[in-house]
Amino acid sequence: MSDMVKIENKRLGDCYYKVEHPSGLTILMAPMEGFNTAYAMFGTAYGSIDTTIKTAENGEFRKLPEGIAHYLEHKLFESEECSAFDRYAKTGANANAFTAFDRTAYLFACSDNFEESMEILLDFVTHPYFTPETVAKEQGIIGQEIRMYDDSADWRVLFNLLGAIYHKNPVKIDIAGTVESIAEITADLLYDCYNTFYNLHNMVLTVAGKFDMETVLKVADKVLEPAKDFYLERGICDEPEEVVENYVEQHLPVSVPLFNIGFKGKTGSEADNFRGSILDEIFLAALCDDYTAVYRELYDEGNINATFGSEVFCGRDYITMLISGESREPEKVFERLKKEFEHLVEHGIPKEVFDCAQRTVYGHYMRSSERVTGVATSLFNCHFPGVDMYELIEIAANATPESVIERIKNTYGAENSALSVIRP
Amino acid sequence: MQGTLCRKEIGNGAFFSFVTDPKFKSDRISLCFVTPLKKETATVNALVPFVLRKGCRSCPDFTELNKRLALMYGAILDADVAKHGGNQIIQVSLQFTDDRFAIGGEKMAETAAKLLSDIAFDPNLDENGFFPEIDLELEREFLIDTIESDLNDKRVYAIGKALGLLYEDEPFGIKRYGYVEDAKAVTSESLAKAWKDLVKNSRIEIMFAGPGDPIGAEKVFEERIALLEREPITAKKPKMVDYSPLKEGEESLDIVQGKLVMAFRLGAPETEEEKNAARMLSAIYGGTAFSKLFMNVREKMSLCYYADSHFERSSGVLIVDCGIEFENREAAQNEIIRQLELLGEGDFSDEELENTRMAVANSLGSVGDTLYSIESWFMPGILEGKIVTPEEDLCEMKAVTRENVIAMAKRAKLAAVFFLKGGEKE
Repeated sequence: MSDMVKIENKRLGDCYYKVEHPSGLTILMAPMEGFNTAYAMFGTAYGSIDTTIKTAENGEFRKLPEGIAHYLEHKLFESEECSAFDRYAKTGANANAFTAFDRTAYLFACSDNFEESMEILLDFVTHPYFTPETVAKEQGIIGQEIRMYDDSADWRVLFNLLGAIYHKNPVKIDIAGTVESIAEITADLLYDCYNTFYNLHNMVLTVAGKFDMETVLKVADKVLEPAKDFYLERGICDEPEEVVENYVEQHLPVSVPLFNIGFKGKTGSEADNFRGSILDEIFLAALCDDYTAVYRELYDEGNINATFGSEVFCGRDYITMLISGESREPEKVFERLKKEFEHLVEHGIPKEVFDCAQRTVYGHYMRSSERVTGVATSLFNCHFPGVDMYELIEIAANATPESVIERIKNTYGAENSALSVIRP
Repeated sequence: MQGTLCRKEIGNGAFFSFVTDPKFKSDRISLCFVTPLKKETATVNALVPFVLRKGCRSCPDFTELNKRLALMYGAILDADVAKHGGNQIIQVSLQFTDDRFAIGGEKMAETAAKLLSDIAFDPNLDENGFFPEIDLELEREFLIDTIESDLNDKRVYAIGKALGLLYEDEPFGIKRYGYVEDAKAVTSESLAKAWKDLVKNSRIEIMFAGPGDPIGAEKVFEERIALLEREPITAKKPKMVDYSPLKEGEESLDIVQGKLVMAFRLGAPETEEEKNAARMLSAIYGGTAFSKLFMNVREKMSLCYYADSHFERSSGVLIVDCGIEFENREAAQNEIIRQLELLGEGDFSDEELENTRMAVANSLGSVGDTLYSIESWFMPGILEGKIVTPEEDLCEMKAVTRENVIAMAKRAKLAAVFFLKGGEKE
C-alpha cells in the first residue's frame, strides 16, 4: 500500500493528496465535492525543446529531429490492435493529448466509467507500438496540422517573437516541427525517445473532480510496472541575456495588424521561474491592465482594443513577459509600454494600482480552483518544477509592491524586449 | 447536475432565473436583452453592449469602472452580442468572487447586481440623452475591426462564407456583429435610441448561477425594472428552409492550407424528435474521435488533421469543415459525401451508435461543472420556451433509434460548398 500525504490550503478550503507509487510514478489527486466529472492527466517532462539529449553518463549528446515529441504523442495512441480512441469510445470519455514546449500530457474527462478510462490511459501510454507503416501514415495528418498553424496569424506572431528573442533556446522552434524535419522521423527514433522520456520517474499522474482515490491506486497497481532507474541529461543552451533583434514582421491575410511584445527574462531554476512568474503577472497587470493610465491612453488613441492582454510565458529554462493585441500602430504601443516599464521600475507601483493588480491575479487563481480542469492542470504544471500548487495563490496574496519591483529589476530590462507584428 | 433552475417573472416581460450550487467559489450574473433579429437593427444593437461596458452614471469613467472590478478580486465584466434563431441577444455579464472569499465580508452578490443593473439600465448619457461622442467613435471603429476580423481565423472565415452562400436572405444569415456600412452610419443619437428601444421593447432575461444568495440580486433587478416603461415585443420563430439548390463558391488567399466547408439541408427538422436525430447523426458522422469523418478522412486517408461536423439547431443545417492540401479537395469532398450516404444506408454498427450515445452522455454530464456551461445550457432553452435539464435531454437522446439516424441521413442534401484556396487574393 502506498503512503498518502495530504496537502491543504486554508484560504481556499481545498486539499489534494500525493502518492509516490512503487512503480516510480508520482500521483496527485484532488477529489472535489459536488462535481460530476473527473479530469485526469498523465504525462512526462518531455516537450518540443528536448532536441539535444544524453542518456548515459559517459555517452554523447545527440540531436533529435524537430517536432519528434509531438509526433510521438500522436503515435502513442496506436497499439497493435486498435487506437486508444477506439478503446475510449466504449467508456464515453472525452480523450485528448497535447505537446507543449517542456511537457507532454495525455488526458481524459468523464462523468461515468472512470475506472475503465483510467485503465486505458495508464495502459496505452505505457505500451508503445510503432511500425514504419503507422509512422508513415501520420506524415499526412501532422503535415496538415503544421499547415494549419502556418496559416494561423496568432501562432505565427508568437513564434516570430520567440525567434526575435531567443538566439539558441529551442523554445523558438515550432512545436510540431516542419514538414521537412518530421520526414526524418522513424519508428526506431520514436522508440528511443519513448524509452528515454517515458520513464515513470520522469512522469506524473494528476486527477481532479469526482472519483475514488482507491480506484486510481488500484488501477495503477494493476497496470504499472516498476520503472528502471534512468539517466537523462538535456543539452544546455548557452542563451545570451540579450534579444536577437527588437523587431520582426510578416505579412499574412489579416484585417488589422496583430502584435506580440516580449520582455525577455533571465531564467532561474524551473521552480524559480514558476514562483517568480506570479510576481511577474502582478507587474504586467500593474503595467497595462484595463484600470491603468497607460491602457486608457492607448485605448482612447484607438491603438489597442478589447483583444489586448498579457501573460507570462515560462518553463524549464525560459521566461518572457508577453503582451498581445491588435493595433494599427504597434510600434507606438511598444514604445509606450517600454516607457511605462521604466517608470514603474524607477518610481515603484502606486498603492492603488498595486491593489487592483494583486486582487486581479489572486482572483484568477481562486477561480481556477473551482474548475476540475483548472485543478488537474495546475497540479500537472506545478509538479515538474517541484512547486506546491497552493504556493501560487499564496505568493499572489503575500506580494508587496516592493517584492514585485525587486523581482522585475533582477530579471528583466525594458530594452531587452522585442516586437513582432503580422501585417495585412 | 446538482442545482435546479428556478425562474420567475419580475416585471413585464422580464425574467429572473437562478441555479444555486455551493461547490463554486464565484457567482455569475448575466443580463440579456432579447430582441427580434433584423438586418436594419443588427449593427446598431451590436454596438450597444460595447458602449454600455464603458461606464454608467454611478461610475462614468471607464478606468474607474475597471478599478472597481479589479478590487472585487478581478471581477470580469463581459459585454457581447449573440444570435439565437430569430433573436438577437445583447448581453452584459459579471463574474465575481463569492461572499465567503471576500476579505472584508462584503455582500458581493448585491453589489454586483447593483453594478450590472447600472451598466444595463443607467448608462452614462450626455445632456441630450446621447452616448458620449468619444465612446461612439472608438467603439464603432472597434466594432468594424471585429466585423472584419473574421479573416484572421481562416476556419471561421470559410465557414462564414459558406453560410453566407447558404442562407442568402434567411434571417439566419444576418451577421452577428452586423455590417461595416451600417456601423459607419451609427450616430450617438441612433445608438441611444437603439438602447432605449432595447430597454423598452426587448424581453429581459437575467440568470444568476453560483453559491451566492440570489434573492438580494433579484430584488435589485426587480426594483429597477419596475421603474421602466415596458412594451416587450416577441420575435417570431423563423421558418426553416427544407431544401435549396446547391450553391458553390471559392476564394483565393495567400495561405498554405485549403479550407473546405460543406453544408447539408436536412429537410427542415422542426420537431424535437427530428432535431435529436440530427444531433445524433452529426455526432456519429463527425462529432467524436471515433466518428466516420475522423476514422476515414483523417485516419484512413490521411487527408486532414481535423474534419468535424455540427448541427445548427436553429436553421436545421448540418455543417462539415476540414483543412486540406489544395489538390485534395475533390478526394475530401467525395469522401465526406460518401460517408454521409453510407450512414443513410445504415452502414454503422449498434456499437458505434451506443458509443456515440455515451460520448453525448459524457458531455451532458459535464454541464453542471462550470458556471459558464450552466448558463450556456439553460439560455437557449429559455429562449425557445422549452427548458430541460441535461438529464432530461439525455433521456431524449436515449430514445433516438438507429432507424431515426438512418432516416435523417437519407434526408441530407448538399446545399452549399465553399473552398478557400491558395494564391493571391482575387
